[in-house]
Amino acid sequence: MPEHVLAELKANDPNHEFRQIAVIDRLGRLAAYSGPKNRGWAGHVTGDGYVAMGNVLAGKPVIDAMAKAYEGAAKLSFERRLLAAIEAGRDAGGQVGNDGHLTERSAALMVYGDYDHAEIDLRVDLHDTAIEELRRAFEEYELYRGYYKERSKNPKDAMPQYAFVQTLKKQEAAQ
Amino acid sequence: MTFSLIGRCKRTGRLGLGITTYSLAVGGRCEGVAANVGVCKTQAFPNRTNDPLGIKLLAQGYLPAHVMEIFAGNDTEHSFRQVAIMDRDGKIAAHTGPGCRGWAGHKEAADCVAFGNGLLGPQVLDGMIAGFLTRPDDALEYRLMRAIEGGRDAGGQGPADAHRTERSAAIKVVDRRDFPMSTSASTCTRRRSKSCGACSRSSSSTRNSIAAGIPIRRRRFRRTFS
Repeated sequence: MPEHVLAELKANDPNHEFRQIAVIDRLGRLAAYSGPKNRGWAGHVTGDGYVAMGNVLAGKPVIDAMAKAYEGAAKLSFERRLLAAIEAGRDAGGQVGNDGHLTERSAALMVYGDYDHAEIDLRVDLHDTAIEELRRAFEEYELYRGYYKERSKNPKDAMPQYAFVQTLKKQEAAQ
Repeated sequence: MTFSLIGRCKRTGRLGLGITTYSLAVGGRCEGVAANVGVCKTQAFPNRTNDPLGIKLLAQGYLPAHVMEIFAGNDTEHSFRQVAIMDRDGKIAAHTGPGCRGWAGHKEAADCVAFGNGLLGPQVLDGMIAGFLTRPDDALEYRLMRAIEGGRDAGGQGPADAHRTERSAAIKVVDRRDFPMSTSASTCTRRRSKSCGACSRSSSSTRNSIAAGIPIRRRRFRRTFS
């Protein structure tokens, strides 16, 4: 159980009070912890199947905005809901340190499905506007996703990627 | 089309891969790098289930060559895959299926395998290996970066009249802990690779070995980072 996992992590870690942890299992049971020694404003909010959490933030509105955006995007794909959440957190003020606002320099989106390899695993490691860059990479990757899956399954008949890129460009030009 | 190199630091036992390709987000398809176990990477027309399976088999004590035989028997499209496997002792198996497009091949050298498809030619693999071997005492991250840079500078992807640029790239390195020490597409890894030199003992890696059913082995060499 996630609650019990958290208790085990606490018992196993002399610096537990410095950690911020969220745990969710495949049934949607969840537990979260924002240690009292997290810096700046730190906290979490839980809802149906999700935890939004953060530290060194502008304040509680940041995680509330994340939760609201995630819930509000319920009709979109899971990936888009996660992206909407971090974008909303950014737009609600994001991170604030001692010297004011701290920009997002890295960002990631990771989703697992039925397999033990990631369904999607995108990451921006160093960028002035990491969330925007992650969104750009995601929207581009979405165009390729079906192609990559099909190519792995049926390599014999696969269109060369360069040709696929040309079809994307044609579609874009036609729009 | 892709070129990559899987490698091992003999001094420290650290394992990793460097990879770059015309495809998007290649770093997100590198599950097969596991501390204390080995590296398994499938590319060309990849079978995404290969790499996690390969790591599980290596952790059970299967040799890379035998893992490759299992892949061949377990995949109707094995002839379209390109696979390199290395265990933590540096034992290697590599396969370039005849269905891989363009110039495709693999080449072994000390503690590494360079492999790629849709390349300008074998000089790309030679460039990668030369990059990897240039300064063998450097931290593995730097050696992997030099490998993919060497492959790029040797001509990279596509035939001479249709060069294909590298649109995504990644390096991934694991130490004795069961999480990556460096997973990066664009980040400077210098600080992290230095800091990991400090954590020479790891209780989590011990547990990881036990969980994986393989014997624990102590570090034999003191690590130095240049």
